[in-house]
Amino acid sequence: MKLVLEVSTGEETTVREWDGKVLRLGRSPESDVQLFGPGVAEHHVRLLEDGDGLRLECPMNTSVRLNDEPVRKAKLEIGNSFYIDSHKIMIRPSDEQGAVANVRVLQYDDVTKIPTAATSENIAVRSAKSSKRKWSYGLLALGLLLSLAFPLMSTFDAETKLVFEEYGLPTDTIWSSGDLASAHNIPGIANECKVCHQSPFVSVRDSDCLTCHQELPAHGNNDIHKQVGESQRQCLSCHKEHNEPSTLVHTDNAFCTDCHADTLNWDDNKKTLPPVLGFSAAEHPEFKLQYLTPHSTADTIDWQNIAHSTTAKTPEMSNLKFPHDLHLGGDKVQRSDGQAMECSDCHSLDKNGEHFEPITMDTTCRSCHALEFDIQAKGRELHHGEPELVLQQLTEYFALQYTDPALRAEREQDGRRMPSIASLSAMDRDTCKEDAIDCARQAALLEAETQFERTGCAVCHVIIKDESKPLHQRWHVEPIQLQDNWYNTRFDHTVHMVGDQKTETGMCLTCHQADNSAQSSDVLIPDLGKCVTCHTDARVAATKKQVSSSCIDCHSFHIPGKPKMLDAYLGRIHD
Amino acid sequence: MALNKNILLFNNTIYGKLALVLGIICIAIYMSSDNPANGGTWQGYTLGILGTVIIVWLTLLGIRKRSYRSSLGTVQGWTSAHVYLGLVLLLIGTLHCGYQFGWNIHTLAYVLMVIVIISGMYGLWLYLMLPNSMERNRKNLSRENMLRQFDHFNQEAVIIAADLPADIQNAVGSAIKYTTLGGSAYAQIRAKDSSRVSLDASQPLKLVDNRDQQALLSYVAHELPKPKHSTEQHEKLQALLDILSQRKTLLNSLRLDMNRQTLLHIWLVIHIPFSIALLGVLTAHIISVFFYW
Repeated sequence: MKLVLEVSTGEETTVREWDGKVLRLGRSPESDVQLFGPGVAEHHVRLLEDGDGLRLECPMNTSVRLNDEPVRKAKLEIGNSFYIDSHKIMIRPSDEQGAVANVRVLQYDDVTKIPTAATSENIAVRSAKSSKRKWSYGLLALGLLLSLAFPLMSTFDAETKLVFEEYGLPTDTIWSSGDLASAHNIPGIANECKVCHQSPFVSVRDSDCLTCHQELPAHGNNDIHKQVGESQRQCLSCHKEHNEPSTLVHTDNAFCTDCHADTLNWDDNKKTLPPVLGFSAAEHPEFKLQYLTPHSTADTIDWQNIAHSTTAKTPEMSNLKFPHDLHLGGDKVQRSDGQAMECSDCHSLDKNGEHFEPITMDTTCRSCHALEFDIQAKGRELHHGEPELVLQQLTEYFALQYTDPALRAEREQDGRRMPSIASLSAMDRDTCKEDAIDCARQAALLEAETQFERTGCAVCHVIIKDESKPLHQRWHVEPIQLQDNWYNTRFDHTVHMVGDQKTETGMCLTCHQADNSAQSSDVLIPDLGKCVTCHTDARVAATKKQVSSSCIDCHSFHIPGKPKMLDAYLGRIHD
Repeated sequence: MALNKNILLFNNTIYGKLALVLGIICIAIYMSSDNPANGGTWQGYTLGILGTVIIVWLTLLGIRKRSYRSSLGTVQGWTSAHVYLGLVLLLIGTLHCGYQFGWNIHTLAYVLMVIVIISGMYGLWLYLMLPNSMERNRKNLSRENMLRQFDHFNQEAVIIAADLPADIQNAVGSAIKYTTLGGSAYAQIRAKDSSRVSLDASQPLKLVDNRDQQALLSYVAHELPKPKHSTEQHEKLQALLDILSQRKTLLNSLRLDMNRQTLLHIWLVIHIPFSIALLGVLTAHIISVFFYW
C-alpha cells in the first residue's frame, strides 16, 4: 500500500511518500505518525488497505470519532475524515502515481501551542524595574568603592598606597581637585597628599607651609594681623592650591581690604595707614612719594627718606641744578648728531624695567659738560668729585705753563692774538710778568673762582663759599642727593611704553612732564590721578573699559627686608 | 489638559519661575568672586551646599511617587519641581566647580550629574512627545489586548490553512513561527523586523526574508487566482489573505507600541542607577574635600 502522508504541526508541514502494510498512528515512538495529547493512546489506530479504499482498526480499548460518532472499526473512503482526540486525519485523493490515498494528519492540538506573543516581556517592560534596581546598587557600590573606599584605605600607610599604585587601584591622589602649581608639582609633594594635608579634616596649617618656606619675608615686623586685632590670617587665605589653571596667588582685593578698609594705627611706631577699598581716585589714598630730604642738625645735615604727599608738591632738594625743559625740545641743546635729546640719552632702564641706572657725571653728563678749564689745553679736564684738589690741580698745571719758557711765550702770543678768550682772568694770566710760581698761583685762584662760582662746577652744583676757610676748602660743593626709588611698590616701565605717542620720549612725557620743568626741584613722578586714568578695580574695569588692577599688581604681601615668615609665625619678633 | 503637559505647566509654571530666580541668584553669587571661583571659596561652598540639597531632594521623587498616602504635595507638583530644579542644577553644579575639570572624583561626580540630567531631559522630551502618538497607534486597545488579538489571528490563519494545500499550510505555519516581535528591552527598542518564512514545503527548511510579512502576503495573493484551487479553497484563501492582512497591520502597531513604551521606561534605566551612583560619588566628593581640607 502506497500513501502520501502530509503531517502538519501547525508550524510546519511535511509531505512524504509512505509504503507499507499497516499505517500506525499513536503516541508510541514506533508509530508511523506520532501524535500527542491526553486523548491519544500508545497504539491508537491502524489504517489498512481495503479494496479501493482504506479501513481503520483500533487495536486496544480506543476509538476515533467519525462523523461525530465514536467508532473502533470502519471502512474509510476517499473524502472521509476522522478525529483522534483533537487531531484531524483526512483521506484525500492522491495525485501521485500508484498511491492509494493522501492521508493528511493535522495536529490540531498544536494550534494552541503556537508560541504566544503575549509574553510578560512583550506586555510590559517589567524587566526594567529589576534592572534599574540591580544597576543602581551595582553602580552605587562601584562608585563608593572606587572613589571612597580604596582612596581612604590608601591613606592608612605608605605601604598600602604603594601596593595600590602597583595594582592600578585608585589612591587618594584621585581626590586631588586640580593640578598643583608647578613649584609644588614635584616628586615628594605631587603624589603625597599628606606632605601638606597632615591631619584629616583639618585644613592645611601655616606650619605645614613653613616647613619649607622659612626664608620668606613677612608682611610686617610681627604677626601684623594679630596686632590690629583681626583674627590670624593663614597662608591659605591668599594661597590656594589645586586650581585649574594652576594659580597659587589669589588676586582678590578682599584679601587686603579685609584689614585695610579701615584706618590702621600702630601706636608703637606712630604709623598710620589710611583706608583702602580698591583702586580708584575715591577708594585709594593719595600716593606717598618718598625722597631724600635734608634735616639740619647741630653740626651736619642728615638726609632721610621721607614720604611726602603727592598733592603737597614738596620740592625735591637734590642739590643738582638741572632744567629738564632746556635739555628737551632741541632748541638749545642738541645731541652730537644735531637731533633733539631723548629721555633715554640720560635715563636708561635697569634690567628689571622698574628703576633706572644711576645718573653719574661720567656716564651721563660729561659727554657735553666736560670740565675743561683752559682753552689752550683742549681735552684737559678738572677732577670731578674732588673739589678740594681742584686748586692744587690748577696750580700744578699753571706752574708748568709759566715755568717752561716756550710754553710761556706761546701763551703770551696766543693771548695777544685772541684778546677775547674765555674770561678776563684768562687775559690777565696770559700777560703775567711775575715769577712763574706767583703767576701760577694767581692764575689757579682766578680759574678756581671762575669754575666754582660762574662757569664749570657752578652750572650744575650748589656751591657754598666760605672766605674764612683755607683756600683749598673755600668752596664746598653740596652733595647730590638723587632719588632712585620713589615708591615701595612694583612698577614696570616696559609694559607702560604704550599709547598713541610716536616717540619714546613722547611716551615718557605722558606721565613725567619734564618738558615743562625748569627746576630740578620739580617732582616729575605721577600721582594716583595719573594712574587711574587707565587703571581701575577688576569689578568695574570691563564696564569702564579700563585696565583691571588688583592690590597685588603693585603691592607685595611679603615685603623684602621684613622679618622671616617663620619668625612672624612663631611670634618671636617684637618691635 | 493632558497629564504630560501638567508637568511643565503645573501651577502656572511656578517651579519654572522659582528655578529661574534661583539660577540668577547663583550666577550673582558666582560673579561675586574675583578669584578662580571653585568649590573652595565661600561662593563655592554656598553653591555646593545648595547643589547637594537639590540632588538629595531630586532623588526623593523616587520615594514620594511610591508614597500614595503621602499628602506632602502632589506627585505632579513634585515632578514639575523635579524637572525645573534638575535643569537649574546643571547650572549650579557648573558654577560650583568653576569650570575646573580633571581626572578626579570631583569631575566624576559632575559627569554623573550631567548624565543624570541629560537622561532626564531625554525622558522629559519622551513624555512630552510620545503619549499622543501612542494613543493614536493603540486605538484604545491595551498592549495585552493587542497581543491576544495577534495570537488569535495566528490560530485563525493556521486553522484556515489546514484546509488548503500543504505548501500554503507550510507558508502560513512557518511565517507564524518565524515572525519576530518584542523580546528583550533592547529588541523592543530596536524593533527590527527579521521575520522569515518557508515558501517551499517539498524542500528541507529554507527560510527567506519576510520583513513586514510582505513575502507571505504576496505568496498567498499569487495563489488566490490559480485555477487549480476549488471554489471552497478560493473562499478559504480569500479569508486567509484577509486575516493575514489584519495580522500584518496589528504587527506594525505592536512593534511601534513596544518601541515607544520601552523608550518611556528605558531612560529610567540610565537616569535612576546613575543618580544613585551620583549619591555615592557625591558622598566621596564631600568627604574627600574635607578629609584633605
